[in-house]
Amino acid sequence: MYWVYAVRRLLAAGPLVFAVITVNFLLIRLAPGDPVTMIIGEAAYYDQKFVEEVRARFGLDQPLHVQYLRYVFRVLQGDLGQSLYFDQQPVLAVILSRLPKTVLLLAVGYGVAIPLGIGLGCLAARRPYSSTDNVVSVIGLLGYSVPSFWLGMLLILTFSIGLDLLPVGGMMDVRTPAAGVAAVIDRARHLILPAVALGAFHLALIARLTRASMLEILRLDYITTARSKGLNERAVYFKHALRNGLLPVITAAGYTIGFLFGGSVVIETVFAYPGTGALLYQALLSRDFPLMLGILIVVTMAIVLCNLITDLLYGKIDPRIRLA
Amino acid sequence: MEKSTPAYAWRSTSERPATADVRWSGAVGRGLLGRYARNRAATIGLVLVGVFALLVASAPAVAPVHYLQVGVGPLLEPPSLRYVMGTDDLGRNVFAGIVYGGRVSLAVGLAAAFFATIVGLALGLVAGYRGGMPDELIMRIGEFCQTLPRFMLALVLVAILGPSVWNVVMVIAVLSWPLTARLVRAEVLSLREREFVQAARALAAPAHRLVFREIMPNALAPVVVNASLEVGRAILTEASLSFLGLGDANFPSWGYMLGYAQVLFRQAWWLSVFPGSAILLVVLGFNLIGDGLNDVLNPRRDVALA
Repeated sequence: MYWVYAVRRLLAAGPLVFAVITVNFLLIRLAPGDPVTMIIGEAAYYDQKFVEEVRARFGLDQPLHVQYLRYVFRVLQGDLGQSLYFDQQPVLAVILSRLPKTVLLLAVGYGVAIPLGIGLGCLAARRPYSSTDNVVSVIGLLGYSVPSFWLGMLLILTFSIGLDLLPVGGMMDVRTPAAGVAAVIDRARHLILPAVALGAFHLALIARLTRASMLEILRLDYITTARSKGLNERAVYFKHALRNGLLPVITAAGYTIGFLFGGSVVIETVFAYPGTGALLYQALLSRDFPLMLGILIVVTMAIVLCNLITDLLYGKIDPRIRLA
Repeated sequence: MEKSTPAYAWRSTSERPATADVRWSGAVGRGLLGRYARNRAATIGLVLVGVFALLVASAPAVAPVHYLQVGVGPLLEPPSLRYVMGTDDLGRNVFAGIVYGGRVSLAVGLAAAFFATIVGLALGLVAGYRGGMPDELIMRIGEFCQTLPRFMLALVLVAILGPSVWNVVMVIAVLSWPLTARLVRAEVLSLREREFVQAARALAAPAHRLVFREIMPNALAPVVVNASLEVGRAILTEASLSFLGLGDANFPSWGYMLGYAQVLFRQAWWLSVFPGSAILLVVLGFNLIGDGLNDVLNPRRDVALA
């Protein structure tokens, strides 16, 4: 019956997409000033006839619900409008040219932080209140409290300026060839510091969560049963406890994808990394509303997709969830 | 007993049946305090927050000249005896920035967490106690808020509404209430059917008494814990917003100082190291307090995260 569950999750994502589009529409309405002024600038004040023309051309003279429906259809067709800053290019094209770079950064940061966090959490839960546990707890607390962009600045000060080991920012060095092994190594070197700065929070979160979840599970009766059957500690820990202990961790890992995208704004700004986060900052500075809202839509869709994948994975791992 | 007095009225808090969870007698209070004080990490948290609160409260005394005053000292002076945290390229005193900026960071963090908690508490009570349509509606909206890229939405909202302190507080609060609401709702759902609530219901206690006198006091533990963690999260969010230049320019916070330092921090380390440390220490303090409260109030439950 897995597919019934899968279809139900898929259908549940539908309203979410509509809600996102609606919020975006409301945000456009919230934006200060007449949209016509934004399109044709100061001229709007001088020529009433021209203003009315533009208003009619963009459908702004229609009642609100008509405008809303038109907007929904346009967005569903992938038309997010034109960027004001990037020379009237379609917003979607501008975003899609940057998105893979951000996804690469997030995947590297997350891909290292999650397994490492789970490992540290497990290590801490094996002997609670031991010195290992204390070290993990301190790492967890610091990572959970440090502003990620400041961590990025400290990393630059230490490893780029101080020790001169890694590049200060950007995505590649202009002096390295565009392809080949050297290019790959160069890109990897550029990824290390931002990925660490971005992943620290998630590493801490997952380590804390794994530890708490494992401690909870290890108290349960079936663990005592497993031990009294004479199973060795390793089997109890990895075969019996870890499977269940990881369930809340997977949920959290899925739901913090949004945090990850949020963090990318400040991190990409600090490291001058050319992804969607830095693009959003650029859009803010130039008050490019279509681009801002477009990024919001695309990123939210990406998050909805990630949550869907998490839910489907979850259903595979834990059969009980499919009944809920 | 007079006829006009409803039956539930003479059941004062101290007469609660032994099944009630928390009885706030003096002895229990002292026990909780003792347990908190024995938790070393939690005490460190309280000290950290206390020190910053004192520093911020006595700002005019410790830093007579406001941070916004330019040309106070020489330009880009490294930390010295006279300027313990150095000066920036406008001759502003970084230490004064820590002291006055702390007022903004702490005030925004506390206010945002306060509003998020109040709204979350109210909606959580309604959702848990009423059930049905209101519950469905509140929880769906909450889920939706948690799906959105909240920091990005906060950025866009502040950009649209204008970067005033008040807007920043409201935006953070509006995007943060769902976690509190979910915690409260879960508590209410389990408390609603407990014996002491049923006893009060059997005595014909009106709904507001059931909700505010019987259920709410017993549902507060996770709310208090989360509120403390929420202050930390709100301070971090505010710092990120002002770092990107979306803070109130009239009330520069620690995040603003870091944003300002962005161009110069490679040459002048003190511009970034001190404000960042201040954020780290205060947020750490609130997180330690949250963890400590969690150990004391619900010893067998893990901390609410994310």
